[in-house]
Amino acid sequence: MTTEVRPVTGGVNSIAHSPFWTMTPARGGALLLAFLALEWLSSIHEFMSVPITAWNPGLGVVFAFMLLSSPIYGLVLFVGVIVAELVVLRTDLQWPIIIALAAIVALVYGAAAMVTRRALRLDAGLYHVRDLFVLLASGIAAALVTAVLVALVLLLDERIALDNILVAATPLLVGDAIGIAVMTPLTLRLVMLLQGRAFLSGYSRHLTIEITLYGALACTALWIIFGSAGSGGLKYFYLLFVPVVLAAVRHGFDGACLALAVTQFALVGLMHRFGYDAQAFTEMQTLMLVLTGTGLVVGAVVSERKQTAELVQFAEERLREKEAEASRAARFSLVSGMASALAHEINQPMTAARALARSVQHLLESTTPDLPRAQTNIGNAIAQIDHAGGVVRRMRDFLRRGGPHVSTFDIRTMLDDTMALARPDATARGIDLLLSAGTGLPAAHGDRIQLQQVLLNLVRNATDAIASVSQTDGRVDIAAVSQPAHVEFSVRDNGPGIAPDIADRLFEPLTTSRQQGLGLGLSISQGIVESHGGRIWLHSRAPGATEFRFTLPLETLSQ
Amino acid sequence: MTAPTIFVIDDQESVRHAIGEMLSVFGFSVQTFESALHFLDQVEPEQAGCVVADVRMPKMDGIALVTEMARRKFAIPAILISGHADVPMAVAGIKAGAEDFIEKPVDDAMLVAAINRALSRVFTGRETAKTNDDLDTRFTRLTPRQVEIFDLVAGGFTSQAIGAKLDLSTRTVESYRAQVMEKMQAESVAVLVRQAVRLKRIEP
Repeated sequence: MTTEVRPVTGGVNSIAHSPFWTMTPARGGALLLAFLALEWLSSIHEFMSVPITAWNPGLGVVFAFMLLSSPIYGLVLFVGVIVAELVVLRTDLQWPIIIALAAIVALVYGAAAMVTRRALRLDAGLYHVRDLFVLLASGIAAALVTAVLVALVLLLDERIALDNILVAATPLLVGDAIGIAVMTPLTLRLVMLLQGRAFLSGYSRHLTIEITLYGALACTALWIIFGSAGSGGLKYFYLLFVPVVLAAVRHGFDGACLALAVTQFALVGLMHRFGYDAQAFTEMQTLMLVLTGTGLVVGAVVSERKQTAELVQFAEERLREKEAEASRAARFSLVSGMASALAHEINQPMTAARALARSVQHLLESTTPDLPRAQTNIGNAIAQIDHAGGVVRRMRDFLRRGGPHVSTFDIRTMLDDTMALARPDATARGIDLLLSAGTGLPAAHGDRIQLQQVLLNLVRNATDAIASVSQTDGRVDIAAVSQPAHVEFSVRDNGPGIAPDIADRLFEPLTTSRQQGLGLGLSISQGIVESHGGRIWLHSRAPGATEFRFTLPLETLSQ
Repeated sequence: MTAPTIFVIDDQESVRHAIGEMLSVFGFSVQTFESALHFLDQVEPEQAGCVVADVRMPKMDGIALVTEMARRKFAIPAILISGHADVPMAVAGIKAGAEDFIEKPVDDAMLVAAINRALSRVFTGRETAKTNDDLDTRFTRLTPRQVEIFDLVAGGFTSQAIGAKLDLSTRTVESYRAQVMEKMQAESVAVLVRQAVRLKRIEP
């Protein structure tokens, strides 16, 4: 099974190169319209005859595109500010001042975007908490510089007095900062969504209920805040933390972005509706900025943790897949080693069956056919064909593709099948293969083929060891002993034993004493035995009595 | 003189029984043995008959049996049966003194033909001068390239190995081999190897 991985790296540069987001007149125009619409939407307050928008969602959106693609989108900001001043705010400022303001905004945010992209290497996908901090820091720094520069221009124009500069600059700063904090992450995440680099947890009834609950919580909080007379409601502002933090915890960064945007729009709309003054407005927005920061950080941390968990799971799946693959490869290598012996094992019954069938044919050609004899021979021929079929079936079972297949099986049958697979090869090498297993063996629970693989591998190692010294009295003893809690299997040979230096790292991968050996057999066997909750060990490495043992725990099967 | 007996030797009971049963249905008098040692113990070298033995057996294999029979001066010819009758093994068997080499699953017609050939050769006496003359005449008709192939096949090389040696494709070698076998009237590689021995091209 393969799962799609959520991209974790691949910074903003990789997105910038995607032609989808490069600036074109059409895209710039569309963004300009969006900017103006948002400017118009956000309520307007005049403060000391300086027309400023209450907050700057448009700026947040355009800043997102500047980060995503290129500071060229600053052009949109430049034109947008001018048009907004003229059309939306109906300013009475002079042309040079308007152009200066627009240039300040475009250049400062352009520079901020450039620094963030190049020097701070922001990943616009905001997959990490670090990226969020970089984004917020650069956005707020840019808002600060813009506010100071705009205040200076207005000071030069004698629109505001020197002692008023701080009071004038603060709402500007807060409005820009909140615009960026709420809208830039949201826009970036939406773009990721469009590019298929992010996933929404699919729509479900469950989610609908949850969203309704957050909505209800937010409405209650807003009702309490605005229900209290005057600016007294501000002290209940913390109630808004509940739905936002809940959404962030449950749905991570995306949940936080959405909850914050909805809260902010509702807040601004209601403040406008209830005619709050600029002072209260700025206070409220400062609180909102804190809420935004908190919500985003919680969301980012939750997302990052979720992502890490997913990656870990994915890595685990891959590892399991690789292990299964290695185990399959080891099975093939086992069988290919036994192939000629197994071919012989199939050829034998075929030879017998053919000879018997031919004898029957000959008997029936006679004028006085010996029917009972023909009957016996044809019966034997069928038995031989079944025998050959059995060899093929066992081999196919053993090589069967696919992952672990857990079942309850009879240990005795498994042992017999293993012997049938191992015996031809042992016989061909002149090695005796003996099984001592009582009839009282219990049923076991696990992957029969994998356990067979462990046994075959141990037997194969034993016969290889015996063959390596051209021993003529070679003998391998396989035994299974039933204990109360487990079955203990042992494979013992009278070969040359195992050298101490090899014995120490026997179960490590790539350890082998054979020239053609891969050194995977025992490490895979260990993996198989341990995945069944058992243990495998070298019981004795002595020459003439080398013995491996492993256990298979018996689960208390429901009667 | 008693009718010749076919001695079937195979460690596997089912195969031994089946081949014995078939030959017995065909009218041969058959005796089966579970090992070469049993056969050597129970049968006298002078007995009339023919051995049909598996090459692959524990303790003493078919080739060792044939060698031992030659050492004990058995008059009984032996036909070896093998699951993988590759050329090198056939050559080893023939060099050891086997009459013929047959692949499993055994084609009964081939087996019966081989048995009859072996028995008749034993009854009519060993190679006559005439057949040797014939053989020489046939051999002189081979082209130098065919002689080369003849020697290599008799030397136990597979077609693939010969191809690699002479820088020819395996198919070309196969076609040369077929020409050689036809000219030499050798119906099997076993016969070809025996001819090579008689022509003193290879050591027996």
